[in-house]
Amino acid sequence: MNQPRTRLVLCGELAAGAGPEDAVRVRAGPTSADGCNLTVGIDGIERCLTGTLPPRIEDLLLIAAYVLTADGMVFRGDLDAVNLGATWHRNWQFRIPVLDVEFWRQREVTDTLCRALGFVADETFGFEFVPRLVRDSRQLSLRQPDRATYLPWDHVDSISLLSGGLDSFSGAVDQLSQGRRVIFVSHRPSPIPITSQDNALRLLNERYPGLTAARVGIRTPRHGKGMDRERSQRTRSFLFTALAGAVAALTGKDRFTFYENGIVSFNLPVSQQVIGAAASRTTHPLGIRDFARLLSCVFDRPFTIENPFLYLTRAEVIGRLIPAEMTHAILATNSCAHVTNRSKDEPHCGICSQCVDRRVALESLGLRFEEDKKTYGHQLFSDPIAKEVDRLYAVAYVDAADRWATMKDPATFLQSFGEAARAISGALEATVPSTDETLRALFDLHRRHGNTVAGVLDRVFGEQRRSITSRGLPATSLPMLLIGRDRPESGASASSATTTHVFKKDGSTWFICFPGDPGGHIPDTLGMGVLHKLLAANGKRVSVLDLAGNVLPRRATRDLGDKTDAKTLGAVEKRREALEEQLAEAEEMTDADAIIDIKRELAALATYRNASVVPGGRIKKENPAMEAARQRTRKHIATAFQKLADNSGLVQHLSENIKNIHGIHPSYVSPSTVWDLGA
Amino acid sequence: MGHVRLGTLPKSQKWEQVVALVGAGAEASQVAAATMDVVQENLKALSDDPALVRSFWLLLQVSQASRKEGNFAAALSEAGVSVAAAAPTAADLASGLTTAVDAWVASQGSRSALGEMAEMAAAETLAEFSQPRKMGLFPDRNVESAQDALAARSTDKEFGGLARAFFARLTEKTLAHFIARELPLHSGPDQAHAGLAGQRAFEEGLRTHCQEAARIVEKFASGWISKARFEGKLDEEHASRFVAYSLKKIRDELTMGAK
Repeated sequence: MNQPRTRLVLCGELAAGAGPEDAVRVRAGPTSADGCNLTVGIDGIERCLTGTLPPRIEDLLLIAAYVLTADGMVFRGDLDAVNLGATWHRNWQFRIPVLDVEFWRQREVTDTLCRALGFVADETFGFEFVPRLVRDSRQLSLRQPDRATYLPWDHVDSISLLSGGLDSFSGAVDQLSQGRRVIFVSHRPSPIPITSQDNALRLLNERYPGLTAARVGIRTPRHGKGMDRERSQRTRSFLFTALAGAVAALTGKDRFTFYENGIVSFNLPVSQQVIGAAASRTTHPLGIRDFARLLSCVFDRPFTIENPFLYLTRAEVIGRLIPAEMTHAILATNSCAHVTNRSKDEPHCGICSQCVDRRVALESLGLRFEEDKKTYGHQLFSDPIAKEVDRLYAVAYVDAADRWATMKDPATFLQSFGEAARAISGALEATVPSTDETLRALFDLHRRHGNTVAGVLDRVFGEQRRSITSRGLPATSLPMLLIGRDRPESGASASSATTTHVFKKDGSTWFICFPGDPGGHIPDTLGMGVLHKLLAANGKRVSVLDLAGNVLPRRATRDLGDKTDAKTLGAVEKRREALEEQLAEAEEMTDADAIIDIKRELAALATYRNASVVPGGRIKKENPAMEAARQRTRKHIATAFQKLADNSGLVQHLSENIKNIHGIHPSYVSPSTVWDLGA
Repeated sequence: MGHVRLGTLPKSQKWEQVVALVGAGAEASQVAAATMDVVQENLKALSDDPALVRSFWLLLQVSQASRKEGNFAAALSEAGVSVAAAAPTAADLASGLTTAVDAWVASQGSRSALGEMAEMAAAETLAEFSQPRKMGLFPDRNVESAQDALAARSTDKEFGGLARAFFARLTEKTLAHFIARELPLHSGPDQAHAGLAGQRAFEEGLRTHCQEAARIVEKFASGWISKARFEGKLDEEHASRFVAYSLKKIRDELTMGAK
């Protein structure tokens, strides 16, 4: 089996040194000067926490930033790649200078790091740590010249991630409404999320004054070309984890909290085309568990990462804003996965996975806003969905929800979604004690989500009934994509496919139809009859005598020489040897049917050889009738091809799929092509 | 929902036939044959995929462990699958299997799409075969524990059914991985697969077809395990040969299936 080639990533000061030509090089610095292509800025820590990061935590932050940056620099393949993950599964080898090299070289630490990243990114990671010679603290903006001890942070109750999305905002409201004092930690990737985070925080401060103890943000701008070749960013949760962990360590905490609804966290595949981390595992409990183990190693004490929303749907998460009287703040948040391409005036695309789920959740709660038309680039329940991938997702989203809503019990759920078995082991250590209870909780979560989606669609179909029945909605709008009808009458299933492939006699002519060709009526020739017979025997070998039977007279001709030749006999012998091997394999597998088939073919080969060669080994003379039929069959097929010259697609198809066209047993082999051959 | 990476089929000549068949509302068997025509060389090259083999091997190991007398959890542990419960349920077994395969894949660096599909197929098959069963009018014949349920279907004679279920699921997942890139694009009132019901009907047809195609494995699987055990060859290497052979047989069945 082919393994993906290993990508060497040279980091920090090593990026400027020698290495393979195709090595990925990541070097952090305050600007793009000196070949630096990454800046790691932690603006809030310095200002608010006034602490000095221990070397090991500084290492952690830089490792996370290096990994995320390299992740973006190597393409994981086109969306229409159909190579079964050949380009998706990358194989990484990072070489990173660190301050606390003894720590990072510990087997347990490296293994935990590799396991956590391997799972969230669905890739293979290796790390080699070397002593860091240059401590360029400028790039971290964490200078504390007097190396002061940490300020007391006893008044802080928790550390919490704030993304600017709805879930983390609702989580913040949850905490602050209980009077808890919180330090909010954010990754600040681009202007729109930064604005959302700032607006969300402003609204939180207005509603719960004095409870936000501090706010820490990290920016990781990348410099130069080729830094965003890959946008899936499956490793981004490592950076969030490292940052929140660093803040927790500086403030003496042994845990932090993030808020993500369970449907997103577990992210069961919505379509059968989705394999592994094609469905993001950014906050999957298994990855989070491994990151917590890594932080436990780094801080040398048990560390916990909590997701209190793990068993809530998005609608349930947003619903918590209603009693808190914070629904007006929803407009300040941003959920869009395509946020980097959006404008401030229209911050949501309206059709990505995040936007679809947000719209459905809000609709289920009856939370409609006047600004909705301006906020979303796409109106989910009425606009045409132009892009194929967006249509695929919209239909898959509803389809998955419908399956979950109608799944009868946890056992059936588990038998249908193997991914749930994997989720159980991650969630088991979270809040629910036993495997069966975890499975039940998972099942209930997905069924509730399914019912939410079904409820929204019922309402949409009710409100838009007239537009739907009068076809007033665009054909590719979500409601129209979802409505069914009876299966088409005679055109259904196989026979509708056959109408695209027709080769049948029509009076004194032949009527043909082939995709992409003009088709039509072709004058009758002997060769057309031969082709028709071959098509009718799709997959089977036909003797030229049988082909010629109705078309060609059987008659003897001149002496045609040897019945076979050494080359053919060699091929027969080669086939016999292959069959003997297959027979041994079939016997090992006790495959009785195959044994019979192989023995039958071996017998046929023996018959052929006996008919062609006399016992002494001399080759017999040819059957003249057979050779005549072979030559005339060949000639008439060539003539038919000339008649079909205007239908080049058909000719090419036949040329490619008629095997042994010059032999005595030609065959047409195209199992997936269904022909209408007439009566 | 979390981010999901979806793609379409390439607009290449190779895939034209599949796209045309799906668009025309062809039967699942025809679409399956056309799809297999395109991908079978790739699949053939992957038939010894380590994660694929490991998933099947652990499924086999767990099924065999269920037949041992004494401590089931200990027998599972010996087979490489850890479960916390002394009397594991179907969910314990399925979860334990995925944990074991994931750990092995992580340690070997053997991540692959086919391996992932095989892991899921193994977990689902195990969940199905270890589900306790109520016998309706004959409650005295109820199968109360996951171990008993699995053991009853893991004898050499019954092994064919287990193998068939695994390979049917794997085949369906493999084909659907490609077909699902096209099928929803033909949803709508004037399309070949109208609405969710139309898609479901096609998917059900594909499932049935894959189960039929995998029937060929059932025919020889029982004989194979019996022979392998007798000859002392019930090991991962021989299981790997069994997997490759079974997949080849199913590929042949599928490409012949539309005739």
